[in-house]
Amino acid sequence: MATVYLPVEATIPGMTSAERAEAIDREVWRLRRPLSVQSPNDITQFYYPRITHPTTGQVAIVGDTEENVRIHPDVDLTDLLALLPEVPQEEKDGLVLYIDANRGGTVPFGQLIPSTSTQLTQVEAEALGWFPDPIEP
Amino acid sequence: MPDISELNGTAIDNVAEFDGVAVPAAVSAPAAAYSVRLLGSGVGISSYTGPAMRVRRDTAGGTGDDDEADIAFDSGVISLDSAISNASAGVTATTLGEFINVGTVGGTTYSNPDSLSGTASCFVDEWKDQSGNANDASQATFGSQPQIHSGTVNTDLITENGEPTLDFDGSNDFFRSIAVASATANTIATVLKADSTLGGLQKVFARPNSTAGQLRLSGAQYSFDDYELSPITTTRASVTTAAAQDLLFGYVTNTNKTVRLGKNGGTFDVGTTLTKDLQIIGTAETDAKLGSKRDGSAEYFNGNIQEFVLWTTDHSASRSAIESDINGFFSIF
Repeated sequence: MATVYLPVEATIPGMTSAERAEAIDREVWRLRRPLSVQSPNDITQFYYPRITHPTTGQVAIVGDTEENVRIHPDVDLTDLLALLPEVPQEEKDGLVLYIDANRGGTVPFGQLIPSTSTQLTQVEAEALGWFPDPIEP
Repeated sequence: MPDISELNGTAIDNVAEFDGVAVPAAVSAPAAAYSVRLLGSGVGISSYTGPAMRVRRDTAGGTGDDDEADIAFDSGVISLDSAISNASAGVTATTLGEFINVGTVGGTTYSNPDSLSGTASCFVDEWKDQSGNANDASQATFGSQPQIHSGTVNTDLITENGEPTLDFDGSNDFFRSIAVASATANTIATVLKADSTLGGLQKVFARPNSTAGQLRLSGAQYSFDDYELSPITTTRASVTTAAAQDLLFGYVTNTNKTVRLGKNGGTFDVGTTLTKDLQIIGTAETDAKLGSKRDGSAEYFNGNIQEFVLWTTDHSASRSAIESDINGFFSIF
């Protein structure tokens, strides 16, 4: 397991960091369980936990670069790509090809992280103040 | 003999003694109540008719992967015979055993109506609140959901002391969305078992507004605490555990300005008496956690939980009755 913290910027007009992080996380889950096969009663909606920076309010997705994400044969990347406007089109095209080639299989989550995304280790996240609570006695 | 509501003009709930025999205080309705068994008047619930929990099956990418269903109580407790309802599209299984294609358990062979390629492991994404307050504990992130079946063929649900349980992995499992009303007192009763007494700080129950006000495990010691402000000062009561199945009963009141915690009917440990208002007052919280620290980011409980009941009143007078009801089912001590 290789935990990675992915702070999400509020770069989409009308979306806070928290809203965008939630939307991206929801789309990562839909790689495995697309909306077309979900039930309206499904409780499960997200792939990874998220944490909120205590002072800035920014939200980070807590992923695992080594985790193999199942790719459903009916996966639809439209909404996920729309949430990544800063990612170069060439990179998006590559992601689509990669996912298409692995429908019904798995891909390491680390291969899905855009080059434009900040990636923090646990130590780096701690140094940047993502975990403020003191250790209790 | 008909039920009576008063005795010589005194409401039965206010009668403390009759002919020299102590009358247990009535158990009022809890604010939230989660269990693998169907709860009743012993913990203050008049009638609950809904499902026990909503679950998700994991077929490792095969047919039926991640489908969900509500599961009912079967003779008062969840089991492989529990009926399922409200399931995802395409699910034709009618019992939990069929839903996960468990095979043969206890002489019963469960069919495989959904044509799964193997036995599915099973996770809880919503633990239904039996209190009537719709205070369901939920977990929408798939990797953080406690488990009730290992996915091993011909194997019963995960159990503790013969009864089903929810296994929290200590890595990232927890529930959220539990609302705690403002109150001058809290009482908790829970049945749980830690996997080890060697771990670091873990949280069984945590309130979102502070690092205090929680039920926690550190080493071999469970603690229940609350706090006052300016500065934050904690009062904490503790009991030890041998990583065995335990029944914990704790309460905190602003009247006494302290907390108490007891294990398996034993003597209460009493926390320091504070002087200011405890923060059980005016701190209505809508996202308390079961199984992690206050923000769900760490200090995950590693063990299993079979029951957790929360009252926003002082129920210390009913301790014996509540523990008797719980122990009558789980046979802990």
